Amino acid sequence: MKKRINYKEIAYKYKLLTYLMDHIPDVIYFKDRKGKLVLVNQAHAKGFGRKPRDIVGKTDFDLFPRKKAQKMARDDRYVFKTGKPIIDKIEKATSPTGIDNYVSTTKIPKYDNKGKVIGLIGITRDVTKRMQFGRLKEKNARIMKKLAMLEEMNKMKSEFISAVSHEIRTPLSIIQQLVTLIFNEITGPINDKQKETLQRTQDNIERLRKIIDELLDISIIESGSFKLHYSLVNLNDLIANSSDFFKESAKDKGINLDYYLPEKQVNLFIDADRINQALLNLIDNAIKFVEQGGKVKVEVKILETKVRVGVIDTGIGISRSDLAQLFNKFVQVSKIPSAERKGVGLGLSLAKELVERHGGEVWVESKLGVGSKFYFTLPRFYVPDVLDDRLRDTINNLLKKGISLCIISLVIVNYREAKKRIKIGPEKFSADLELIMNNTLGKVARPGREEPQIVLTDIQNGEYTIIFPGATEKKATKLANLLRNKVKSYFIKNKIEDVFVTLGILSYPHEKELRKIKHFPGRIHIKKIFIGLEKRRFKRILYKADIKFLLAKDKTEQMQAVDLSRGGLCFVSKRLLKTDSEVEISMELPKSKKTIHATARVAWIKRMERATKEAVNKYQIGLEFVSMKDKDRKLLSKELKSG
Amino acid sequence: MGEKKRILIVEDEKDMVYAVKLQLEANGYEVIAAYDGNEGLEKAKGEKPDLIILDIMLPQKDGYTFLLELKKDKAIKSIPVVVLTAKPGMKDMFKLEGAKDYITKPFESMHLLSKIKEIIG
Repeated sequence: MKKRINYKEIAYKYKLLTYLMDHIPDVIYFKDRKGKLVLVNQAHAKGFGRKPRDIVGKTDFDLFPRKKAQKMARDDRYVFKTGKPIIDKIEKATSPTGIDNYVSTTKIPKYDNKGKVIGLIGITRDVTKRMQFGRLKEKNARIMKKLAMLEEMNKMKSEFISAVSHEIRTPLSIIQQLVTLIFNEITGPINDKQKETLQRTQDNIERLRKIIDELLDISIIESGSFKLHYSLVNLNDLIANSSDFFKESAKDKGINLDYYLPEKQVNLFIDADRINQALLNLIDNAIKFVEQGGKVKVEVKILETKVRVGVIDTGIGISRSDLAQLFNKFVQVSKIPSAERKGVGLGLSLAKELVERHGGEVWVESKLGVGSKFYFTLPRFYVPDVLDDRLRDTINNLLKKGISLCIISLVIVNYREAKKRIKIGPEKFSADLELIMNNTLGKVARPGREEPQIVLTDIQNGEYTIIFPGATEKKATKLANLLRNKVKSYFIKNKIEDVFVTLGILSYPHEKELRKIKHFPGRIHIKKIFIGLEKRRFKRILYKADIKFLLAKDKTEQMQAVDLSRGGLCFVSKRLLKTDSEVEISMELPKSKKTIHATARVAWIKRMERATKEAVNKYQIGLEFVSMKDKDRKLLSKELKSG
Repeated sequence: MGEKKRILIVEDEKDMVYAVKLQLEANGYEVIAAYDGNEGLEKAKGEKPDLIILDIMLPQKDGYTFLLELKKDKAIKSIPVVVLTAKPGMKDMFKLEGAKDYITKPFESMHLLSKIKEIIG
């Protein structure tokens, strides 16, 4: 029975297929046994700048240069003869402009119903991208291989240095002792000349020792296997200890070494040995540059978000050209008295590296003939700073055991002022808060494990510290959120107005550092909950505001602030301001368009390292507001609130 | 009168032993030497010194193992140990393991002397 021919369907299918053929970017063609093009798609014809009807009936020899056409014909013959398809044959063609193109050719034999090859279907496709991608992949694989090799070499290098340094230290130690034995006349009396000779020998042994230590340190840092071992440290103690180290040498040189430490005790979460090392390098440096009768001062300043340590001397100073290079490796400053030329010039670059690893900054201000000021900052640990030794030891012990810790700090910002506005008496208030905290802690404590506990309360200042051993950051966040909500509802219930509870998250070490440190002895998660009448006291926002600086002598300079808060601001400048100097600022607040004035002090400076061709130095400078009129303060608050 | 205090030094570097021995003897101590961990333990048991100076880097039995074994033996576990180490920053590790104190190499003899004096006088 004859099947009904559905012309509509055929027409429809034909249309679809034609559409496909003509819209596909691939070149598609049908050839007969003689190599004549029977049917070509638009892409094919377009390649010659023609229409399909112009191409039909032609052969490759009509369209391509002879050599090429011969090649193509060879392929055709293969398909016709063997009945086998050529699939995805890649050929390279270089365009007249010298660009390499890759083309994929597919030729499939066409059979009649008797099984005879009567022609072929060809598909040609530009695969330049695919090839390039392939090449990139190969290149990438080669690079990865090289990288692995370099990492291996690096590892070997630091192992080598570590082994060698031990090998060097041992005989050095022996030499040191043997020389001392003779020097101290334990092997018998010696004359003055011998004594002097041995003294010089000892000095040089000391030189060697220092060089080895520095080389080792630098190589460890560079190898990436450098680890910081954090613990909670009382800064004043750390700094004061350095005085023991230098008492003798300072006295010998007739230099006054003084320490100016703040009353307030500050605890920092740092690697004590390494920060000590950085500090000692700076003090050592200062002593080198100071002549007899000069002074070296070590001062500690507690800023809002950082602690700043300054080593200030009245030495010969550093020239501007030397200043730029000062923290680079192996740099020895030109004007150093030759008697003091010890070491390989790694001390400062080590100090810089160590401080920066902690998230701090290092910078120097100096004037030839007057002296130098070296500063470094370290981020503050937001916890009531009066942590007694026992507590600090507890924390450090937990960390050493590898137990992660969570410290939640509950702070009522500006509590002293807040107290006046709160109708509940302070004792009841803190009792209530403690109750809330204990209840909340009870909810998260797990039986059999160490319990979270409130360890410190500073009722005067509205600060509470809770230690939560064995907590993960997730758990800590959960607890912190729970606390915040409970306290918030308490405040609302008791009509304590204008309350804002903010979760401040501070984790040590900084997330960035965590990735570098592979074996961390214990983690500490710190959450700070702010409850307060003043929002954003400590929160810094990225902000653009034009600031005018009123410098001395009626000079003004315009800058763009990048970071603004109630406590201060941070901006980028080409001019290096003096640390602790006061500046007058006028600032136009972008939102309210009002101008406010303030006096601010330069708290910290960070040199922006750029590998650009600009010879211009740029500095990020942090200012803390010293004084501001009340109305200006209100305007600023409003501006920040709306931000 | 007063008996001389006896110090055992466990250190494989012969010249180091020479130097330390000379120094300590000049300061009125009696010194016995052992050049590896095993010998050290033997001598500790046999001579019952008042103090042991122990180098961490020893062949065969290392300093840590020495300390552990020392602490296991009732007869000798109470002898205070001062550890010599080239690696700074490992201080706490020793305190955990039972050393009384540590000193990093290279060290000054005076430093060692004062530590010894502190511990046994």
